[in-house]
Amino acid sequence: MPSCGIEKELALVEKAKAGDMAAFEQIVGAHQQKIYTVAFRILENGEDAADVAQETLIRIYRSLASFKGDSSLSTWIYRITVNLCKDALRKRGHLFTQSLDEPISEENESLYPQLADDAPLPEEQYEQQELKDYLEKFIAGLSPDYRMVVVMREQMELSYEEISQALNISLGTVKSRLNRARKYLRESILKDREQECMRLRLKNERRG
Amino acid sequence: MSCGNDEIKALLSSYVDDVCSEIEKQAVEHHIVQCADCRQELAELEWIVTSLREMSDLPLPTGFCEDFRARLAAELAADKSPDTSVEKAATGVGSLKIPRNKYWFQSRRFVGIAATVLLCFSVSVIGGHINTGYDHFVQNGLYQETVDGEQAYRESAATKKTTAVANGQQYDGGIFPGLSASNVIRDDGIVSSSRDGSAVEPYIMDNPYEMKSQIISGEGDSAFGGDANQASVVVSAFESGTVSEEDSPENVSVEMPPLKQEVRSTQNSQLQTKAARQMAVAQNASNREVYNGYMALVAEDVNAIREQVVSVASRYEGYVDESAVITEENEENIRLAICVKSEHLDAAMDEIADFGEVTARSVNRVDLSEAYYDAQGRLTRQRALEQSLLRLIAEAEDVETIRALEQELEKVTVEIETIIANLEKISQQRKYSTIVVNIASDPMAGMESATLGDKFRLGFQSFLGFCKSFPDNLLVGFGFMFEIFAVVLILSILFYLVMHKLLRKPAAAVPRKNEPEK
Repeated sequence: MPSCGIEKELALVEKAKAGDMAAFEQIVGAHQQKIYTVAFRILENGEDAADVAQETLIRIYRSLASFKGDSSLSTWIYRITVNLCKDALRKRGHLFTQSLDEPISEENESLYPQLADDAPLPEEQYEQQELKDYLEKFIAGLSPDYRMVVVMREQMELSYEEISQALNISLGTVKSRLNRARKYLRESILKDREQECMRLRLKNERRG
Repeated sequence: MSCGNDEIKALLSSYVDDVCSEIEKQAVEHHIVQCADCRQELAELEWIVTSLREMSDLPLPTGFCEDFRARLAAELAADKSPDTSVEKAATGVGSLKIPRNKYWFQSRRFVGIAATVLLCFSVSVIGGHINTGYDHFVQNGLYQETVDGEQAYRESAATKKTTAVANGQQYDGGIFPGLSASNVIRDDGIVSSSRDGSAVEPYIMDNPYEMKSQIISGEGDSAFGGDANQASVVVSAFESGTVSEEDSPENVSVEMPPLKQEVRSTQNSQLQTKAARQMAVAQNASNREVYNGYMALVAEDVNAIREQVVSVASRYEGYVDESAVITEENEENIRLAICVKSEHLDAAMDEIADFGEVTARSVNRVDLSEAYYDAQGRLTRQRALEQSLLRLIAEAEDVETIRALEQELEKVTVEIETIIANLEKISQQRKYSTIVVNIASDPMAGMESATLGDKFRLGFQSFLGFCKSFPDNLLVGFGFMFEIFAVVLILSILFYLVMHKLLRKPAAAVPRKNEPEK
């Protein structure tokens, strides 16, 4: 979330509405990275994410006048982002085509083989990047529907109601998807750790 | 050990987010106290949730901002408002214009409104044409012509002459762009110089219509107005400018010597030469007024007269200042402005008068002395200022003051040069007199013995003129009809809206996808 307070944000929006380009630039500056990140995590493709993020900013510019301030600016922006992500996924033919009961994305089946041989060892990985960023690849392992719910809940910090409205699904579906996605994440992290332990053991044996 | 309580496990996620019902919450809390497995799982879930929340943002890919700016610029360019230009958007300044909807022009409603607008525009324009066309018909005297052709024609000829005379006056006022505004205003009237008492022009009137036009144009003396019906020849004595001599050269020469002395005392050779130049100007300026002539001629062959007038100009060491052909209706008028050496003015005017039937003749004096004395006065003040500055420079001790004073002196010197140039210009103007000659083709030539056929021809010509100027009238019609158009437009829009409301079917509420929901 951008650090600026709600009043300050609203003042910026008012200025931008009145035609202050600098204020709009400020809004863009405050949100663009988050928009890109969120889009990237949903789409798992840098190019598409950049495209969606830019389109989102354009949409913001175009429809800022219709922003009434009854939700926070970021919520409003995220809604636009999610809608555009949905469009992008639909274009790719990924959304709603996979079994909704299966949280695991088929396209990321190759995730684990990727970690073979020349890949940096997990211990080095831990050193290289933050533990939290280590989660990135597990998000990528989710199918888009689940990814979207997770990202909306965890990164956009939207409420269950907001998610259900934005995705046009029931509250129960939001709950179950989140539940399944988290379960999947937990399981894959545990699996990863097991593998990592095995790897370490093998490595030590080879060295020893 | 593994807990098989799937009901509780399914609730854990919601429990983390605190969205369980009170009963579910209690059930979970009750269970995890005794089940280590579920406690473990809850802790792991909590870790996942917080970790996901704390994931850092990804860096923007290279070129992201540039791409966005380009797209925004394209968006703005595609925007209907041209005031938010591409460059402005690209540099991040400029106004933010929020369009209503990208595809507004595709909507049916817009097409409907556009059609309505187009329809009422064309209706009002066509109406405008008919209206102005009729106006023109009446104005041209075509209507009256069918009743009394000659009378109507005479009237329209008189109107034309009014404009011709007005043109001439305008031109008189504009001959000396260098004069101050007050001078121009004072001298712009044809008979204005008689107010000065210095020069009264011979004013020859042999055409009652011309006389009328003089009065209409607001410049005629009221005394002339009384003679309007008599069609008499009014000749005023022409007195060459003897009056305004009383305050000219002596004043200047009184002013000059002390100046000269002061200049010499400064031993400034540059200033001396300027003073000498200025003295020459002052000596030449013994006669600071110029006479300009105005002449209106009526003749059958206007172009032949034009040639003759031009030859007069060259014969009297002059030149043609302006030559314009004004074609009005089926008639050709020529306005010529020639400049001749001022001493030849009378001779030139007499010669021109012989070329055709003179309908107006006047000479007016343009007094340059006011401009001259104005310049003189300023020159004196500037010189005095220069002297005191020079004195101060001589007395000044520190460099700073001297530099400041020298800067001031520089300004004064420039001012003095400008004034001297002005004075030279005035003396130049004085050397030439301008004669404005208006030559109108004679509409009444042979009209006394006009046969019915001639009258018909005249009427037909007038009709042709009307036809020729019809395109212009169309344009005028556009202009006039614009207000009516606006009213019609507003009414049409209101009508459209009302009809729209009445005819609108209850539309099925289909929420638009791809739009940000509110």
